[in-house]
Amino acid sequence: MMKYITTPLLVVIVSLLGIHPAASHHSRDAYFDMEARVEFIDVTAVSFRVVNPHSQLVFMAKDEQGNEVEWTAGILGASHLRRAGIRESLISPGDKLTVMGSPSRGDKKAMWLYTVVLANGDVADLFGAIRTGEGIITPASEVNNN
Amino acid sequence: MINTRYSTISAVITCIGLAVTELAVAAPSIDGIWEPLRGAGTGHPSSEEVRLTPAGQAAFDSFSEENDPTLKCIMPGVPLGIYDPYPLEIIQQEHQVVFLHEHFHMVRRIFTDGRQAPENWWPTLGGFSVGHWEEDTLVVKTTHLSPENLVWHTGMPFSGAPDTYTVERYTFTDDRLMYTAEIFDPTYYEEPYVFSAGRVLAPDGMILEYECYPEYSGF
Repeated sequence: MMKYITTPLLVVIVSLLGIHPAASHHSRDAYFDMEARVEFIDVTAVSFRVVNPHSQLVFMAKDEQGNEVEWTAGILGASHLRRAGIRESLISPGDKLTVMGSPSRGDKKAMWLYTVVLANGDVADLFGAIRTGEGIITPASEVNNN
Repeated sequence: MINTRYSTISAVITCIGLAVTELAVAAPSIDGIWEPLRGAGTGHPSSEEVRLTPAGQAAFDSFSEENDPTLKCIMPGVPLGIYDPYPLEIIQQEHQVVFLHEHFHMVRRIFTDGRQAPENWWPTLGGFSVGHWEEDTLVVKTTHLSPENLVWHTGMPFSGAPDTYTVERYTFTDDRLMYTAEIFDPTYYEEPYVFSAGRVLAPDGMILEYECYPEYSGF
């Protein structure tokens, strides 16, 4: 059962992640701070593509001034996600989401995405595919919100 | 007299046949799809562990997306493509071992019939690979590597100087394939760069199409 951390903050660094070098791929470490985590709550999906070499979620999030800002999230490539049962139909434009991952090292509005809480409350562990190669969606009914 | 000659020839042919059979038996059957072995405690060294020359350090410090072929939807080549977290299909033939990587559809031909690179062979991303068996270990040497190659995505550079080459050792034990790779590049590294990885045989595995979209390759 997956433990889901909630927070009232729009963006917050919440924890350190231990990522083994063997999992590092496609220069990810060079562009994202893989030891930090960033979380956005109640964002709006713009597009979701399951493609190689990286899949991608584009979403709109409010900045500290309340302005809508476009962010781009890199995700594992299509080969990994397809094997884990992820298809582009998982997320549609307009869906309200919570997204968690690692922030860009630069000033780009970009992140590397690990986990998405979908509009129906299901949790998709999009990084899980590379760890286990198995299904990575936890139904909302099994999500521990404590 | 004639019978004796025939007997001698027959004996020689038999010996050659046995020798050939012995060679065939010595190389284990490695055909199949091999998936990455997860959690094997292997991988590339951290950047801090690598001893770069001043030239190598300068190349590392100036690393950018443009230096990574995969971020341009170009196959990773060697050494970069020696490790990837995707399935690999191995086809074993008498004269070569073929590596069919799912990752970027990269194809490697490792010639095991004793041939060497033709004279004036040109440097490429994949280089020219020859191999031989040492019991259950396939030893692969790759030369003629291009300066456009990369050692690792974190920015570990590859000079592509004429004296660069790689040696890979693939040891097959039952359904496991463990391997190490040594990268010899004295222009950029004080000592050979070494990493290791593993794969597991996947009888039901599949190689998927790896279409690459350049517009989704950068960050």
